[in-house]
Amino acid sequence: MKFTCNHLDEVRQALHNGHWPAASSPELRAHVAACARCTQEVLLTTAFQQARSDGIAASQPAPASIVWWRAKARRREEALRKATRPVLAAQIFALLVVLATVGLMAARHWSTVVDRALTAPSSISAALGLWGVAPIVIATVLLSTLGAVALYLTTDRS
Amino acid sequence: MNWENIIPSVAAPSEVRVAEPAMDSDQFAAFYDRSSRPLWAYLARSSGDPALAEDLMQESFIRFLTSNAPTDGEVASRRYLFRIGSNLLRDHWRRARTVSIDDLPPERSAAPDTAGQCDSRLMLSPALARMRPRDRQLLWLAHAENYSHKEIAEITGLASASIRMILFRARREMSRLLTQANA
Repeated sequence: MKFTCNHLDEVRQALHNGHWPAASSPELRAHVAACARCTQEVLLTTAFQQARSDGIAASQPAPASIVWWRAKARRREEALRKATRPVLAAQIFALLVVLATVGLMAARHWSTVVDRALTAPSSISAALGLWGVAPIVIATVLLSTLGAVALYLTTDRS
Repeated sequence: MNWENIIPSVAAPSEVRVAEPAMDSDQFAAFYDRSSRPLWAYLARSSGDPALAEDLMQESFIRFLTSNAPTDGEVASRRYLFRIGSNLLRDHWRRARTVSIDDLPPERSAAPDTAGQCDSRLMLSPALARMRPRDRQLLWLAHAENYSHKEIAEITGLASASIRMILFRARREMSRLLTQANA
């Protein structure tokens, strides 16, 4: 079969405009009867056009207002997400600064605690020495928890 | 000092500026009325699943409204809409299986029992169900929607030369199946 045919555009036009076969010239009908490529075009296009008509008749689209409303809600959600992006960035930065500060303080005090534990005459004294880092540990846990909650609330879109 | 003055780009939720779509609600209703059924028919025939076609159709229109859709006439808007639908369909197939949709067996993405509800009296449904998903898509766009190779390339993201070759083979296969069914 040929890849194309000189009359193909004419046949397609007739099919698309609904002129095939009644409103087509006898010459064109005779050509289609003799040309394998044009016969194929007529066979496929009529079948697909019929299927398209059936599909259009069978479809039951939702009301346009519902789709419009859903699109509006999504646009708003997207706009809100873009607007709150700097806040999220600021919160993450603040959290990192807090964690770094707490980490530095803990490291500084940790050496003191270890020294006290090594030089203490008894395990009771060493245990008492550990009370010195208690506020730091509590502050770390508290800040980490609050930071995690803040992050969750900011990023949660549901 | 107000925190909004410190970070000017941050606005209160009630003041968030929402981008307006290219169409107003009345224009959209008219466009939807003319385009939703052909788009559904295309998606239902290409996927073989009317329920999926309904979901993808709605999502296509939502994305159309939330994106920078072309404003130079309904023909361009409709082509853009079909492009969104085609991309969603391709994403659906890719999620279903991590292989190229060209390699998908026809039965993987077709449900002949549901697709056949539309026009069981015709021979097209069983023949389409035996075609590859991409072939179904291209045949539909070429013969049902009367799109040119260039327009199909724009909608599907394939090269025009590839479309020419794929359509040539798909037409040959489809006409063979239709002829067999008619015999």
